[in-house]
Amino acid sequence: MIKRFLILFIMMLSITMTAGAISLQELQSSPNFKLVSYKEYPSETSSYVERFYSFIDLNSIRIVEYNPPKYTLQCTNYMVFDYTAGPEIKESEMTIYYDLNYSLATLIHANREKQPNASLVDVIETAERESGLVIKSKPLNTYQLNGDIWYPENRSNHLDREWKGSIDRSRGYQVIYDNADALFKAVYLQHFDDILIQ
Amino acid sequence: MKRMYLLLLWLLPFIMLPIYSQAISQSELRGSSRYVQFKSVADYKVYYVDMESITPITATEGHRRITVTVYALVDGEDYIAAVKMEYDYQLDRSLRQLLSKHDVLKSQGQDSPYISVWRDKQANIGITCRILGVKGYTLSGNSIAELYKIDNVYKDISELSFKGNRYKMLNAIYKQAYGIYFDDEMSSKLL
Repeated sequence: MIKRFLILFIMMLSITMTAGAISLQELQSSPNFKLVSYKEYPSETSSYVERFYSFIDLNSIRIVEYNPPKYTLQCTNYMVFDYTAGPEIKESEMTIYYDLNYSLATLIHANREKQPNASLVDVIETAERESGLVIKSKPLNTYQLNGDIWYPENRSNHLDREWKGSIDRSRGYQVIYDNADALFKAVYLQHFDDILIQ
Repeated sequence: MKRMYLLLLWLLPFIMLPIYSQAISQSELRGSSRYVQFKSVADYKVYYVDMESITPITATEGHRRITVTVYALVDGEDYIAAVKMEYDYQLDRSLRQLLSKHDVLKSQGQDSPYISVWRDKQANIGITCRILGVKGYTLSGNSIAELYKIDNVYKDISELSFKGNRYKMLNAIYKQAYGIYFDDEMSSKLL
């Protein structure tokens, strides 16, 4: 009796331990994971192609604030670094604060309304200074590509810390911008920068 | 001997004047409205555009071309680089033109988000440039012949991007030449 109970206990424990783990295969095959970004980096010295993926979990999306023109959404984000230097999956809780006063549609429309003295140079300046997007990223877990958990002592980088900052429209922020935009579109069915506030 | 001396005295202004007129010091760049400064907050480099040197030149159809002298200074460097630049502006890459194309596509029912216009512009701003000539000066305005000393001062002047005050400078140069910012250019013929 005790033996059976022990086997059952070990089985339950193993299920609990692996329930939260995620592999690259699951991210690619399950429809609730939306692939937002994908990049390939061919190696100059070998045939190995390094790959980067960013997914958002559509089942994890939560509307934190709905106060137009300000919105806050949250979801789980998976960034996959299939790199020779250390392949890993970074799971994080991503919270995005949206201010539609700074969407491109709003800025361009406001500029057109200002005719005849309006210049798109003003739109460029404002859109560069203020995107209307702020991210708070809270790291959750790090996995190996097969879903095994990485332990903190294995490796750590800047993604292992909670951080908050504005997202700009520059190329350097494109992955984060695309995550934020995909999250917005999943909920409100339109791109963030296409929403017009009059 | 006296005649020789007088001849030299007479020739002196003709020798000195061209050298003097080309020389420029840091204080002159800072002190005259002729030179417009462009510096981004995090930038260690300052550019001064000589607004009086801006000259439109002939260009191929759909393009406009300008020559201009840009002075570059770098924090911690003792030299000024005076770089004669030629900028080429491709009119169908102005932001107004790209937005107009976007509006047409959208009215035809195509999914074309505004951010794709932004990314398109980032990928190709529609402005290219080349260096026509370089001169070097000390901060006090003396010409230098050893141009290798100013390599670091102007080495990235040809790197153009849709970003910051350097991009703003490209629009300002265009406006000085044609009375309109490049990104406001719109021609129905180009649609």
